[in-house]
Amino acid sequence: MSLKDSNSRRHDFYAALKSAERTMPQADDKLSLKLTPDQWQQQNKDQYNQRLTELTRAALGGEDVVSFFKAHLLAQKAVFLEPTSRAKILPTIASHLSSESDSSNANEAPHQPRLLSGDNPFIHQLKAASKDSDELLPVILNAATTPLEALKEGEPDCISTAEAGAAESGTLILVSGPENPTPLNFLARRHIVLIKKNKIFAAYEEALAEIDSQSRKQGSKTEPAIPRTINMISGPSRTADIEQTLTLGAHGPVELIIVIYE
Amino acid sequence: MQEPIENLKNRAHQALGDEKLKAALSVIPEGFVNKRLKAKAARPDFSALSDRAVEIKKHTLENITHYLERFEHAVSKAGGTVHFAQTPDQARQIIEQLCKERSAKRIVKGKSMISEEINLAPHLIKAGYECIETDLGEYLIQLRGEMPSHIVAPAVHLTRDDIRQDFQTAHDELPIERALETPEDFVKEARGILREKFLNADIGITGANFLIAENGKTVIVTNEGNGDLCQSLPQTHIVISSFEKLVPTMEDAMTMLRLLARSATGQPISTYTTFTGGPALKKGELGPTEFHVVLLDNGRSRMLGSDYSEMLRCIRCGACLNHCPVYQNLGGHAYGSVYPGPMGAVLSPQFFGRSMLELSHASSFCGRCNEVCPVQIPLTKLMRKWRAEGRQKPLPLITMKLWAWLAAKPALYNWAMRLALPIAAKIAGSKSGAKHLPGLAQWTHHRTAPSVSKQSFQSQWAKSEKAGET
Ligand code: SF4
Repeated sequence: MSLKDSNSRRHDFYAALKSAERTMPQADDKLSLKLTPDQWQQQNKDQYNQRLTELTRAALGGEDVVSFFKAHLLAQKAVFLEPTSRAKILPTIASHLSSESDSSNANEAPHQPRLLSGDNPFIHQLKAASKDSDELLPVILNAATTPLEALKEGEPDCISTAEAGAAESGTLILVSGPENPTPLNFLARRHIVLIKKNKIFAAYEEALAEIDSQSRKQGSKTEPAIPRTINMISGPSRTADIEQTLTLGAHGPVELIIVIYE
Repeated sequence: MQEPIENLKNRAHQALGDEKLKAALSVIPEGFVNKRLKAKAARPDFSALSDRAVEIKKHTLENITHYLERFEHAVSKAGGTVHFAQTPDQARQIIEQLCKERSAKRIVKGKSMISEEINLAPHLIKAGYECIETDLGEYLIQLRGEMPSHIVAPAVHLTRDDIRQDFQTAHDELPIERALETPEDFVKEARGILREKFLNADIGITGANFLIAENGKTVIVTNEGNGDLCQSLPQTHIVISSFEKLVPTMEDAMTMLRLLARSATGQPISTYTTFTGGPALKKGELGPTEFHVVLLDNGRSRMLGSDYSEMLRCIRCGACLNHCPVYQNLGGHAYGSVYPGPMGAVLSPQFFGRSMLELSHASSFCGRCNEVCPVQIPLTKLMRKWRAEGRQKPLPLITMKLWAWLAAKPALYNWAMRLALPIAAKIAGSKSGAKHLPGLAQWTHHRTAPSVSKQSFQSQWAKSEKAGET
């Protein structure tokens, strides 16, 4: 297949769409707005994002955003840990991980417990704060330590930080990068996600605005640094493909552990 | 693989006599119908969301080339490539070529209805690649060489006993006396087998539930996380999708997502919703180094310009299947199409040709599908349209006979054309194409005929000959 082929296929594809656009039956009912794309974007900004946020808040029924967020995630069988201070975050996680007899793993070859994280400034901080602890501390992966190879041995436990949360469905929003490599979220046997309390919003629109402002901060003035991947995570991995029976740990984490910190 | 049984009636008959199938399908009312109802009740603004979703889809389709250009631009800016395919054959060629150029051996696949539509995995396997479906349901039916029987739960027709047999045959490296009783046993075994494949795959192929025009992201939703492993571990990520999945912005996608999982499985949102696009370029970022999107038309642009355009709003939630009394009793295989149920009855003739017209008869026209469709597609109206079309003969006999008679008499033919063409051109009007031509209604009803020239080909030819002589 040559470049010429692909150019002509592109041309044909657009030509078919353009001619269809012309013969498209004129939508005459109430839900056709006849807006130009620019007007659409303006309308979204001016009215809709706000309106959907309000509708979502109303659906929350006045309940406190954080408790709604937790309730959703608990219903999805996520686990919450509540360390009493920042310095206690890593030790609390470590003792949870070691206390748990991972029974589902019983007849597999026993593996060295390993806790991995990306090259994440916040985890660096936490590690420094608990360096006297003799508990299991995360190994921080960086470009030099061939991270993917480290992931391939056994099933490690992984720790990540969330950029934002949306209470409406109990959803953690993670952004890819060296700080939070995407594969960690899915290869982990147990996935620990840390989220700052004031980053939990009611609606998706608010959470996305937070992500957006982060990527504007990181990019230049005119070019926000759009993250390659945005992961929305709302519970541990599951399937209902065997007789429609809910079963956890299909391909991704068997357990999702969340720490909300202030 | 069993030979498919000819015609809908026979397949329906077979399905109705299948006690095992009946047992498997009995989970649908509790598993899907009730869960959707609860999820909908927990969201008092559900119908407002649905109205907005229709607006989003309509607006995008009305400006489709604009949004496609934006999407394409954003993907290339992020370092990815968009490929275009009119036909299933072109799409398969493009993907096969990508695999070949990368000397790939193993391909891991996420769940994608478009890949089913073009029969992608069997095609790649025939071409010599190892191509593994990783969604558990898809994996189960791949082991059996079957079609999916549901667009959301492809293996809903299988029971534990079926799966046990298949696992014992397929995973013959494991001890035969191992326990395969509880769902956990099966899930754990599949996890182990497939994890190995993920870690050593060269290419990951996924579908996309939505494409975001403003930033070139593709969106997948899964509960298992398999799609994410497909798109984050191998060095090359290929997305197979189609233009009607476009939405303008991230926020628009979230509105659609609020409806999708609630309508599909009764969850507020699927466990994993992922927006991704472009290769991993940042230092220390893990991810594919190549990103390709293949867009397939396969009749969709024709639909866009036709009375079936509303069907392009479909977000493949499966609610119309789950609520259809015919689907509930027959299951998906009786339809003989990878798109079963009411949505399949409307889509299949578009994608697979007129032999699928019979699916419009697999309906009692009770209208439940219209009611539950989150994007308000008038499914029964569109099925009726196909039914009517199925009843029509290829062309009214009188038109054909007249033409045949005329064509055998050159002098008379030329005279008649000189007389008729200016009139036809007037009636047909529009420069871009003729909407109605007398006597050819069945041709021009659902497609646009080329615009009519005022002069016949023969008289134009004669003129240009003359001009050449002087
Ligand atoms: S037609 Fe409507 S109900 Fe059926 S799958 Fe599509 S979006 Fe869902």
